[in-house]
Amino acid sequence: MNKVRFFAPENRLAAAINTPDGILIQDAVSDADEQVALAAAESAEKMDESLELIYRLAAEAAPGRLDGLYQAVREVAGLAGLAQLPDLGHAAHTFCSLIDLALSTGALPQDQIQVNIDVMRLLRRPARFADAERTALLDNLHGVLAKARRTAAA
Amino acid sequence: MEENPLNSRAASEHKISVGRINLDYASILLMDNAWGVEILARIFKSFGARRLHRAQSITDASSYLTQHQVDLIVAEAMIGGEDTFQFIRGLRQNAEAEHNRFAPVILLSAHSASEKVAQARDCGINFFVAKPISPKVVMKRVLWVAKNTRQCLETPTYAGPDRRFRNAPPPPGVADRRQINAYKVETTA
Repeated sequence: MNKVRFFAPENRLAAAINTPDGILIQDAVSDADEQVALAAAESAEKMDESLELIYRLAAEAAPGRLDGLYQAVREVAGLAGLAQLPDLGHAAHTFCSLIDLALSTGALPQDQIQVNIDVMRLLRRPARFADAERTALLDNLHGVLAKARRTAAA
Repeated sequence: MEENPLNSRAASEHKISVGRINLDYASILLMDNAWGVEILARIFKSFGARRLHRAQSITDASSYLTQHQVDLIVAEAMIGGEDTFQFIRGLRQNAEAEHNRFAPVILLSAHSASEKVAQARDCGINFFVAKPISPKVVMKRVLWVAKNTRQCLETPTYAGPDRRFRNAPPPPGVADRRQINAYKVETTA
């Protein structure tokens, strides 16, 4: 018979947090928000390095490029929000889902890659677009992903 | 009188507590790629943490944990192209390194590949946070993990926090896995 043991390990984090003094939680969060905002330009620089890699990998036909592409797009999805570019982060997340699907089905048509790349390029400079235009761009990517999912399920 | 964050229902739900937090004495391991770990360090320094340790690879983290005790691990799900899931699973199942075996783990990820979802669920993390991270969400999860009273469990195939958030029986028509797998349940303090 398999054995399952239930137990309550010591919660050292709770003990540390409960130590007297410390700082107000709301002050800690606002200070951290400020720090993240101050790092936005550096986050954008790091993200641009990944974008350059994405543009290069998207144009190549090297074997195994989807794995590299997935990692680079995932990096952008994580950094775009820190760089104050939430729509680009959203686009990158959708692209990640599309590549993830392709990694299981084995196929990702170049036109589907290209539309994602084009939208990411546009959303890198979001101030050029009105809210409705950015929403339309993202809806377009959702449509591409939904179509790929339907094709994979068929 | 100020509110204790660990007793605050709000802290674990939608609002940030108005209480205090003291991370002066908490030893925290941050695992991410170079820029990610820098951002995490800035956030935790703002939270008052002084004992921060940075690891930019699974090897660095493993090496650190064999020699030091930590109170919290905050880890990106993929570091340098390597999955963190296996590392966390190894940590939870390593009975020879008991000092960190059940240290709370908050896992960060910008996207979870479909084939990894089960691994993420079953590796023994305490909480999952979707990137992009925000200080407010990180704070909420730190408070939640500290307040958490879920028991841990250990079976031949899993070690970590009880994954059930509700104490509910199996859904209608689904057999109880404890009976299917013939588990003998033991509870220890």
